[in-house]
Amino acid sequence: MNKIVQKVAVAAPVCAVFLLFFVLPVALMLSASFERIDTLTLEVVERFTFAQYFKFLTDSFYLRILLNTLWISAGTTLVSLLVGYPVALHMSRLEGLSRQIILIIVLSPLLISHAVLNFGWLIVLNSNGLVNSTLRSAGLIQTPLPLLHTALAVILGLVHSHLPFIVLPIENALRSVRPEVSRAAVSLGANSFRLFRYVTLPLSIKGIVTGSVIVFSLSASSFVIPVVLGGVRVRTMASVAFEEVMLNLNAPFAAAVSLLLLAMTTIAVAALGWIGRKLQPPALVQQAAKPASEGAA
Amino acid sequence: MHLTLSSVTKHYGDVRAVNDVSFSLTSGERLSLLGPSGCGKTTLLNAIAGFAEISSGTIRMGDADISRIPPFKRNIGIVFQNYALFPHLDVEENLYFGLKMRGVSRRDARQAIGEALEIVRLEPFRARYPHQLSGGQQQRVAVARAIVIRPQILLLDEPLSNLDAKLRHEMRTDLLRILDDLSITTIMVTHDQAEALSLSHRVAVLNQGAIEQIDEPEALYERPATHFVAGFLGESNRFAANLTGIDGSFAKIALPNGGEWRGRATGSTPDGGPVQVFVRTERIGIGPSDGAGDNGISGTVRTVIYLGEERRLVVDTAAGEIVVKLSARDRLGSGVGDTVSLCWSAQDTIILPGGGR
Ligand SMILES: Nc1ncnc2c1ncn2[C@@H]1O[C@H](COP(=O)(O)OP(=O)(O)OP(=O)(O)O)[C@@H](O)[C@H]1O
Ligand SMILES: [Mg+2]
Repeated sequence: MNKIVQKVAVAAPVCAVFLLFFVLPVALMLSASFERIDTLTLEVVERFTFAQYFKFLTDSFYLRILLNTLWISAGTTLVSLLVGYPVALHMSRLEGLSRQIILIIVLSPLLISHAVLNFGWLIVLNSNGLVNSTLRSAGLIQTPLPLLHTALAVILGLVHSHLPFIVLPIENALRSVRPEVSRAAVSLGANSFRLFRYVTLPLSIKGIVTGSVIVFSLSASSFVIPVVLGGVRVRTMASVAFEEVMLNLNAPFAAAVSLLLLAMTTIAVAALGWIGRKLQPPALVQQAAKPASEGAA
Repeated sequence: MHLTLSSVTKHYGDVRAVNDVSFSLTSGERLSLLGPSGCGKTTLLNAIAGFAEISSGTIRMGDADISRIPPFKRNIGIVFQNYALFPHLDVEENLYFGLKMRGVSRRDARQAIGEALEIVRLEPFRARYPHQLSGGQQQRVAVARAIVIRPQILLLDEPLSNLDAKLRHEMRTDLLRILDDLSITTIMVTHDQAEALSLSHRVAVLNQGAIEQIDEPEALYERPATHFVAGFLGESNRFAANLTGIDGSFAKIALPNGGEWRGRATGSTPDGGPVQVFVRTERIGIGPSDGAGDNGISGTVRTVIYLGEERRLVVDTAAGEIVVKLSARDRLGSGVGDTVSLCWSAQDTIILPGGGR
């Protein structure tokens, strides 16, 4: 009996925070998303209707934005992985000062505000920007390439700002692989590629999945970067929700858009987790499960 | 496969972790590397395996110079101190790894894996993952994984050091049986003298990266060539003395306190001058001397330490403090404060040239 009281006491603050900051807002949004308002008077004209969801899911304009968000997030995750993995691999082999230096470089996007970061990319990508002027003076192009306000620009910005979230979990996973394990593989005849393919990569799947989940979620819900670097041509769910609530004053529709975004992210994260478990060696799954069962006992 | 090291040196900055090491092993020979922590044992193994590029010298396997061959092509089996099993693979897959790298199909590998598991007696555990095995079982998997590829050289870095005393004893017997069965040229690093003496054909004592002496276990223990080896192996009492003359196979030595002893003279014993005398603690007995060749001294027992298998006595004598190790069978009629006479044979009195202390 005492134990139950104890457990409740321990769990209570966590539950309170969870209720206040997650369940309550989502519940409010959920109830709002079933309303319909008169956009002129802002009066609620219907309390329970699927009108907002119907509007979204039957309009190819909105569906395309959903797909767009999905592929920008997936693309960002993929590019982050391709860029971040080698960085993490290199970093995991360093010690002391050289690792500190790389760590600061990796963390630097977190130290810079998104506004400044965006401004940097604007300078690089606009039609008179660094890339275009370089290509033009090299005589490779006549007219500037339309780089800004493309999905590519958005992905670049998102990768840049979210790179730390993929590098750190992977580096952490790689660091837990003992150097002797790699040496054992080499002594058994594995060249660098096979060492990577059969030992290093499988032992870092956990870090890959963790990093991907974080980057995907942050990218899907990111607002400032897609708006600035994507402009009006590249629209995402977050920017639509923003416009609906701030410009069109249609809170119920914004709520529905937000919840659909949440649903999409949840499904994608679940899929990533599932893929991760499929790829992850069974030993590590069991090891990961062990402390939890001990904790419960 | 023969293994020959010639003047192998490895620098880490200013540190000479391995300093001008040369030795040669015949096919199937087992060598133990013994030495204090930081003397370069692991570095030497890493140099042979190819993980530490040597600064100078050559390493030959058979007739081939392998000094510059990358480690994955050397065909050397290694068992690491912490086993370093692949945590994501079960026992069978751990063993298959090396065969897969050699392009052996799973079907063809089955028999080799079965044999290796039989040698280490782990067949029932083939589907287990490393974290589901005890330390001793993991150690045997590591050995099996190294031998299944039929390496030409086997390197073992403190293979038993993570085990408790009892398991260690059992594993030592097992390992000896396995190594005897395989007759692969083997180099084994160990901190444990008993392990080194019992498992190998020859033992090399390393000090500060260099080989002090390399010899058969008994020769090394009975006829140490340097002060370091005499002091490092077993436990010895050490006295500074003067050599006064040679009498056949015995040497006459004079102690600073006026006493005279006789010691074993060998070909390398000088004719005279300052020498260091070593007497192992377990070779000293209590009681009056009874042989002509014996040395003796009397003293007062300062402490008696009971250790179960043995008893250690510290005795204050005119030649200084002498430690005596008595086996449990030796009757001890005396206690702290009693006067005892100590004796040991001249054969057990080791004389090495040089001053010091
Ligand atoms: N990577 C390295 N960089 C610099 N110095 C090193 C490196 N590896 C080893 N050393 C140094 O080389 C010397 C020999 O080290 P080594 O690990 O070979 O000792 P060891 O005999 O195996 O010791 P132990 O019995 O404690 O394992 C030590 O002084 C050590 O500090
Ligand atoms: Mg070592």
